[in-house]
Amino acid sequence: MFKNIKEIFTGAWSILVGMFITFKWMLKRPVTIQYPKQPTRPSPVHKGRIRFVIFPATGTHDCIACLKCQNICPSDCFEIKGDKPAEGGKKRPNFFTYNFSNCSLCSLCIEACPTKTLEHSPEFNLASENKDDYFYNFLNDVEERKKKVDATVNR
Amino acid sequence: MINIAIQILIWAVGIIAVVTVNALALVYLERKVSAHIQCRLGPMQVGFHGLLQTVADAVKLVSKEQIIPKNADKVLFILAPILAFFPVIVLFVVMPFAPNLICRDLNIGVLYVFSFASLEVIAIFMAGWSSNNKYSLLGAMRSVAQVVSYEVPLLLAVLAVVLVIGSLKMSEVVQYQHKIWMIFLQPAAFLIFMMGGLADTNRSPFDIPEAESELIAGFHTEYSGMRFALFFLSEYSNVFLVSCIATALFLGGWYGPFVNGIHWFVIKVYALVFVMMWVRWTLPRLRPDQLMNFCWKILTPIAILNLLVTGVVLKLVH
Ligand code: SF4
Ligand code: SF4
Repeated sequence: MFKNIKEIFTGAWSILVGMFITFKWMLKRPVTIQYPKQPTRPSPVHKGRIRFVIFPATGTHDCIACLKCQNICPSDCFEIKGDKPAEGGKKRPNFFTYNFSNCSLCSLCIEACPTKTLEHSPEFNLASENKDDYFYNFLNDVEERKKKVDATVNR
Repeated sequence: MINIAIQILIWAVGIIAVVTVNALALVYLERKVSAHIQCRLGPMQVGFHGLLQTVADAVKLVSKEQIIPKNADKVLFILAPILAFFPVIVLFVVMPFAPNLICRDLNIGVLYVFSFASLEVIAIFMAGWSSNNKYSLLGAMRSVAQVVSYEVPLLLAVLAVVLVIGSLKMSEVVQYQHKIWMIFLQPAAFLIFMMGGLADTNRSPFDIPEAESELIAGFHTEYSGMRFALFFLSEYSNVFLVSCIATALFLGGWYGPFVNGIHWFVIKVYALVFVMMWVRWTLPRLRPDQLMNFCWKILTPIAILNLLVTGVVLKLVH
């Protein structure tokens, strides 16, 4: 009998505690945002599509067309052609495409690259109705990004 | 004669307008309260902070196709939502909003309220039975099991209040509380009434007739379009009505500090509605057997005890 009465009171008390907690949370700021209207930043470890690193020292990428990334890629995403320039020096790519629709974002290419010139982009809103939009020409892409000094998302 | 006819017309139009606008407001409030308790924003797109969201939903529901399942009992299926909505309109008739704002101040007001409020379960059982769907039937049967459990303590609690006041007339019930609200004389009855009210409106933690995670939507699983909207409308109007009854019986109706009047009634009602929503988004659902246990083994004895003590004290005082 006394045990039951005690149970009723502890139960009622726990309900009051629960109500207090939900009320406290109700007064906090919502964690969600109005996404398409309000810009957001992805998490710092977000793994988007693969892209070239633009090194501040040289102002461009450092790919030597060694094809290591093409060889290691399990999904066969890359297509790379490269030549030694006529004036000598390192081999440079003259054709470099990447197929995002095949990519499994496994990061193997990034690890394999000897010059560390591949990285995940922080872009996340890449949805498109056109399959061709997922073929990235990295050489053009780098030129475009060099022109655009966009501080918000695509830096 | 013509005066009375015009009066009735005005009341009828007014009640239906209040029911609809109020249900839209409550659905909006519910969505906002739930959203903020869960740290979300809730509806934000339609109108300022989503104020017109429920209007948009209503338009959508009205324009939807009304599906009647092939093997359903057509007559009952069509009648059920109408019968569910009927008590809502009828109950507004005796609600004492303000001293001069009672449609009909019947001298059996309290009895009238609770007899019509129990009609709801018949509509729910009709809906569940006629849908010819196992989820609907289970929901309807749970609803009936629930109604016999909570109505006993609910009515016993109200009986204690009526015993103190000595009248069933809604206006006299409120006028009795002009000095001290009934909640201070009968706190146990108030708690029992609110728990019964939560069960009466099928709201969490007593929402076992429509338990979404087990029964899809319970008794109204098969309903669509405007018929579904009628169930929805009557559910939210019931929340409002239970709060109205609690305000009239326990919280002193239109009495309040400073100026008495309808504003106090509305403030109290919406505060109670908020508490009911707050409870809904805090507590998980009870199992049906837990509900029966709770109603029969805890609420009913407390209600009987409360009635006994009230009777003895009244006898001693007089
Ligand atoms: S992340 Fe993996 S799948 Fe994608 S391109 Fe690199 S190696 Fe290929
Ligand atoms: S592994 Fe690096 S350097 Fe080699 S081709 Fe790929 S991107 Fe260029």
